This record gives sequence, structure tokens and C-alpha cells, in this order.
Amino acid sequence: MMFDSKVTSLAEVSLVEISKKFGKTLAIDNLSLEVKKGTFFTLLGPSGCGKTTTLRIIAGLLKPDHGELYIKGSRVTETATHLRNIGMVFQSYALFPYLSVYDNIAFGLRVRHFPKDKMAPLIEEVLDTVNLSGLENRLPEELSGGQQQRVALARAIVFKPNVLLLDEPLSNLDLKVRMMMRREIKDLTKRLNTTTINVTHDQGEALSMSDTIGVMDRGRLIQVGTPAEIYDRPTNPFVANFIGETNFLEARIAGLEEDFVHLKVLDLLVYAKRDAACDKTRRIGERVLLSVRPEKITMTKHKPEGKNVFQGRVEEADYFGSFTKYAVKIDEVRLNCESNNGSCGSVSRGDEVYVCFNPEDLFISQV
Amino acid sequence: MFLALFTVGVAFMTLISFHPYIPPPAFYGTKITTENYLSIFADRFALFTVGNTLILSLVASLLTMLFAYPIAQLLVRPGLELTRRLVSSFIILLLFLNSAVRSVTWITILGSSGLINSVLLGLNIIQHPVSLLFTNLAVVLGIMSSNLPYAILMLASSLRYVGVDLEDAARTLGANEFQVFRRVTLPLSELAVIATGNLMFIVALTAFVSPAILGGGVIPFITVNIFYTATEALNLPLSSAFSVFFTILTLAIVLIFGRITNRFLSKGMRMRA
Amino acid sequence: MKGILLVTRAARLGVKGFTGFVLFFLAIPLVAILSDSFAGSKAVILSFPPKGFGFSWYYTLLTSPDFAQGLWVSLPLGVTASVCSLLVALTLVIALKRYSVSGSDILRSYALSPLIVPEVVIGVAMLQLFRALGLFGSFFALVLAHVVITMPYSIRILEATFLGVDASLEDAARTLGANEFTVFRRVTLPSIQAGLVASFIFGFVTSLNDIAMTAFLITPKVTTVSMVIFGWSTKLYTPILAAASGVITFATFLFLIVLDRTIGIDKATAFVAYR
Repeated sequence: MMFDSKVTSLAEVSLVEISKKFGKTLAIDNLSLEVKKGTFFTLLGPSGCGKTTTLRIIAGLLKPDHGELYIKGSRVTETATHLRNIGMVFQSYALFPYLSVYDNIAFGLRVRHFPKDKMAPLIEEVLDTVNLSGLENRLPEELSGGQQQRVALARAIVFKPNVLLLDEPLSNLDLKVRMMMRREIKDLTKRLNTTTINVTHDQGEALSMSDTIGVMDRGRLIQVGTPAEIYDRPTNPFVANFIGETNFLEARIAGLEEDFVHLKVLDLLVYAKRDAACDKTRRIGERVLLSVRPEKITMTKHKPEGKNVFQGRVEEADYFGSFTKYAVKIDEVRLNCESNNGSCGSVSRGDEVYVCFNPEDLFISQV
Repeated sequence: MFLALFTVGVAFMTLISFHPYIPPPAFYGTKITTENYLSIFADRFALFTVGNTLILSLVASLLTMLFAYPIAQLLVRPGLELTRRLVSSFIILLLFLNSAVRSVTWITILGSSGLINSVLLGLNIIQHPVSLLFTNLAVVLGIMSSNLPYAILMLASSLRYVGVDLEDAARTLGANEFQVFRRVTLPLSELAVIATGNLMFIVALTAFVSPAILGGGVIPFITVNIFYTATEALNLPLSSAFSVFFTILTLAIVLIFGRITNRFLSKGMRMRA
Repeated sequence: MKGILLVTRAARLGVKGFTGFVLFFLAIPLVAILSDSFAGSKAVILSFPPKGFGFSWYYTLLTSPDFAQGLWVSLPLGVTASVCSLLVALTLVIALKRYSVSGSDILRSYALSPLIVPEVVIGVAMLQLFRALGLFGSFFALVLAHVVITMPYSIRILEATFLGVDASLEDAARTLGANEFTVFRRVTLPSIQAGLVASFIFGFVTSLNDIAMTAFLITPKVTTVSMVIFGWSTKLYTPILAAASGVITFATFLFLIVLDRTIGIDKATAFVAYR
């Protein structure tokens, strides 16, 4: 058992400087991350960013070119898949079509030579946990998508794995079933206190289910944080743009105060809160990128108090039922904002409005 | 229109089979008789021919499946792209190659001046050349090498959809390589193997070229027998009768095999069939 | 633990070895006879290793009157039978596609039925029929018989081709004002082009290679290349057989390249492999 000082004692799964190449393409570039015991970690990113490759390396189905992998403190980089005590749910579920639900779940127990008499109650229990009691003798093709997925889950957790790996398990389901399964999986993993690593490109899924999110792009881990951190405090334009929607404005630093940064967006003077987390040493005259989320911009008919108030004209209004998306033109600058169709009264194209946003809701990054 | 030709031809043949034999130019007499069929069942040689054909076909098809399986797996595994393309192209070449040529190639191996004899003589294992042609072995080898390309490609196309996913899933569930093979790979191949095996048996049974060239009229085989009866003995009624019998036998085997395999297959695979 | 690893490794090696053996099994007969085609003119019998070296047997083959006669029949036969079978299959498939009557399934099975009957049996049947009709030994009879053999394959290939065609293309053409004939000429035919070529090539090769049925229908005057070789292989064992094998192997190789260029090898093999 190798102990490495880079590995903290709370981490259930640790990747240290993992790299993987496929032919000439670098799929994973020097990636390091830690997943704490009992937490739900999601790797989020667009197709091709390397998240599934990372998951397969954790599973042992792929060997990294460089780097080390630790599970529960032991170095498992070279260990064969079947000895890692992991549970994995595949995108296609990968249920054995010639085995019944019961036999599918029993598979992991049988290959470990689990005592036969203890198997049945354990399987019944896990079937109950995923709400599939009574379907033991069915075959996979006799089940619906959601049911198949639950069998896949049950199969992966019945032998109490160290880590549960989920490879985009919800992508093949209908919308309603997907929503339901999100909640069920989250509840399940919390109840069993299983360390879970999920992989998805769906940000809604990531934000609603995870304790921690790791955003990936082109083989690199861009930012790791809680859902709120990732959403409100993106450290990088890619993250800001990938998760939710955002407005990007080119700005120049006009002045620096202790608490605030003065920025010039064309002719507009904007105040941003100087936050240690998202802003490095800034110089006057520096060109930067400002971003602010649409829902953080308030629209009013009358001029409000405070900093960052601008007057503009509504150019577009797209109705979405429970909210409306607007595009407001302020001089030469165009801002997208959103508004609940309850509170703010109706605003239509051509109207003159005032927009306002808080200095804390601005995010500064390099151009 | 051509179907009419086909049907009429078959019907006519069936008709003829019930007529007695008369030497050319008439070829068949006018009264209706079952003497042709009776002679098949009475003739010990005819019965032996049927039996020999069945046994040789069985052996050939079993060996064909055994040999085809690993190659089919080779063609289906991801990776080894170049090898796969080469092997695949070679198999396809064999597939379209004239059956006479395929059988003739074995003459160079089995004949008294062929490869085997050269090797055995060279190593002083035997003193005089032994021709392995015109033996049951030769026929089996000939049928095998004719059928292998079909078997390999059929198996490969059935196995392709198995999904390497399931094997990976088994590994994550804790199965070592043996267990993966026994519990996943094998059961999934079951349907493909049985279906292909069935077909290979029928193809072996109805083979003509290999048994004719490598059996040389010495080794009894139904198709060869029919051929000589019709073209050399010029006994059309008898050959017709034998043909009808042969066709019914083949169809019967197809049906019986279908029933048996259905019972054999585990439920999950049966539904896929 | 070590023990299991060792056994696994041994098993893996065993499987690899067996696979290699099978490939060897498949390749060696072909290699042997191809090498023997270059045997010297003194070689009297097919042998391995070949005695002597030379191209004389190819010369003998190509100047052999039997071989030439076989080609003289086989090539036109192949083309004619293939084209006819293509036309008939085409009309059948289009008719089946358009008019799904309750009988169409039966009709289809009926059209494919020659595949179920052993070729030898078809041969006997055709033999008797042609004799009765006085057609025995004619080129015409051979064409008829070969169409019966090749038509099922044409049907299968065309069926599969039509499946891949976008039905809405024809509808689009109709809305643009094309009448049925024009639709067929400008939309349908180009779409199934690949299938037509494949069908022709397939039919041609099947006709050329056919032995089991053709064996019953030839006469010394009218015979095919395959039958010439078959005849030699039952009586004559000189390297002329090797030369013939060489020529045919090369021709098959060329044919495969053509097939690959038109519809791709994978599709082609699917037609043969699926029953």
C-alpha cells in the first residue's frame, strides 16, 4: 500500500496528474482531483471533453498513460477492474439480456462467491430500495427504460462498492422520468452514504444532484466547486458560458478602489465589487471581460437608486410562459435579461426601461 | 414467370419420380409406380449413402463452428484495425472464390505429391506416399474449408451486436476474465452459434462440389450419388426419386432443428431470435 | 492468485495460437496451389512443393480449347442471366413495395424458394424439364436455369437497397410536377444505382461460379468455365488446375475491388451471410 502525501485522508477517490492519449489526441491533460467520502461528485462538460474517459480510467477499463489513481488510500492505477470494488452504471445500462432482474443483480454477488443463503434477502432489500420489488423474474426487455435503469443501479450497489460510477445514466430517458430519477438517485446515494462520481453534459442535472461539480473542457479540469460556487463565482469564461446564460461585455479598468473596481464599458461607467476570489491584481487601463447573468439584472420603469443604473430600450421580448427573456439596448451595448412574468408588470418592445445590477453580481476575467 | 419454370420443373420431376426407368431416348415409362422410392429404401448402399452423408455433414459442421468462432471473435473485437481488415478481406475473397477452386486446393495438400506427403516423407515418418484424397477425411476438410467463410461472417455479424459494454459491466461487477467469458461472452454467443451451426449443417448436407472432387465417386454422398445417377446412369426416375427424398429430408431436418433449438435456448435469448 | 494469472495467460495464448492455426488452415491450401501454378512444364501432377518453375501452365491453360469454349459460353451466360434476373427482381420488388396485398408475403417467400431447395435437386428437375421440352443442351436453357438461381439474390439485394432509399424523395418529385415515369427515371433509378450494380455483379459471379446445378445441364458442346474446371478436377491432376485456380483467384480479387468501389464490401457480405 503506497501512501502519497498528495492524498488527503478524507478523499475516497484521488486522481493525481492523470494523462491519457488516443493516438495523437490528448484526451486527458494532467488531471488531478479528489472526491471526498460519501459525497456526490459530478464531472460536467461538453461532448468530447474527456469526462467519460476519466470515468473509465477510474473504473479500470482504461489505463492512464501517466499519473496515479487512489481509491480509499490504496494505489489502484494498475489494479484490474474486477478487484477495485466499484459499481458502475452504464449509459446503455448494459443489463444481461438473458438473465432475469434477480440474476442480473445477483451477478456481482455470485462472482464474489457470496454465500448463497445470504444473497436472497440482500437482493430483496436492494430491490425494495429502488422500488422494484416483485419484478425479480422479469427479463430486461420486459421492463421500461426507467425500470431498467433502476435494475442497473441496484446491480451496482448491492455488493456495497467503494465508489459508485455513473456514466450519463439519465440521457436515454424521457424528460419526466429523467427528472424523477434525478431525485431518486440523489436520495439513494445520500441514504446509503455512497461516494458517487457522475458524468454528464447536462448542467441542470449537475447543479441539482451534486455536492461538488468539476467542470471539464478538452481534457482539462477547469473549476471544481459546489453548485453555487460554480454558478455564481465562475473562475473562467468557459465555465461562465457553459453553465447557465451570461452577458459578456468588453471593458477597460478605469479606476481602482479598496472595495470596488471602476470599469468603462464603452461610455458607461460600471462598478464591480472587488472580490479576492475572482479578481487578481488589476491595473488601470487593463482590458478585461465582464460578465453578468441575465437573471441578476433588474428592469424597472422608473429610475431606481444605487450604482450601475442605466437607461435603455427594449429591443426583443421572447415569451416563455413563466418568464420572459428581454434584450435591452443601452447606447451601443446590448444586455440580455430575464424577468418573472408575475412581479414586474408587462414590458414590451420599444419601451424605455432602467436596468440595474449589483456590483457583487459582476464577474471579471481575462480577455 | 421464371418461378413458374421453377415450379413446373420441380413438379415435373416429382411426377417423373413415380415413373419406371427405361433406357434412352425415352428415359421413363408411362405407368405410375413407386418402385423408385422402394428401391432407395431397399438398397443397402443407398441407405449407407444417406447415413454417411449425415455423419460427414455433422462432423464437418461441428468442426466448422469450432474453427469459425475464434476468427469471428477476432473480427468483432475493437482494436487491431489493420489485422481485422486484412483477415476480413481474405475471408471475403474466399467466400466469392469458385467452389471448384476451393476444393482443388486441397489436392495440393492431400495428394500423394502434396504438402502432407512431402512433409511426412521428408521427416521420414512414412516410407511411401499415402494419398489422403478420396477419403472421408478429404471430404470433411473440403466441406469445412468451403463453409468456413460463411460461418465466420455469419457469426461475426451476429456477435457484433453483443456489445462490449456487457463484458465491461461484468468486469466492474467483479468478474475476472474467466468469469466474464463463461457468464457473459458465451451465453451471448449462444444464439449466434446455434443458428449458424444449424445452417452450416444444412449447407454441408447439400454440398456437391467438395464431395464430388475430393470424394471422387468413392466416398458415398447423396448429392454426388444423384449426380451420377442422372448423368451417367441416365436413370432419371431414380434420380428424381432420390432428389425428392433428399429435399424432404433436408426440410425435415430444418424443421426439427428449429424445434430443438427453441427448446434449448434460454428464455432471454429465445425472445431475441 | 498467481496460479490463476498463469492459467489465464496460458489460456489466452492457447486461444491466440488456435486462431492463428485456423487462419493458417484457411490460407495454406490457396498458397499451395497458387505456388504450384508456377510449376515447370515437366511437372505432371499437382504437388507441393512445386517441381520446377515456369509460366508454361498458364500458357497451356490460356491456349486450351476447352477453357476458351467455357469462357465463350460463361461470359455471355453470366451477363444475360444476370440482367434478366435483375429486371425480373426489380419489377417484383417494386410491385411488392407498392402493393402490399395479403398475398405479397407468400409471393415473396415463393420467389425466394429456390434458396431452400438443394441446388442438385434443381439441377435434376431442370434436366428433366428441358429434355421433355427439347431444350436440353441449349444456351437458352442455361440462361433460364441460371436466372432461377440468381433471382433470389437479386431480390434480396434490391429489397435492401430500397430500404435505404428515402421514400420522401419520390414524393418530393411528385409535388414538383413529375409524372410516374419521370419519377422512376430521375429519382428512383439513381437512388438504387448502387443496388443495381451490386445485383448485376452478384448475379454474374453466381452464374459463373455455379456448378451444382449447371453440372446437370451441360453437354460437351455447351459448357461453362466452372464446369470445365470441375471436369478437369475429377479426371486430370496436372498443374493446369493450379493455373486455372490462379486465374480465377485473380479474377475474384478484381471483382471484389469493383464490388467494394460500388457498394462497399460490408454490405455485400451481409447479403450472402444472411439467410
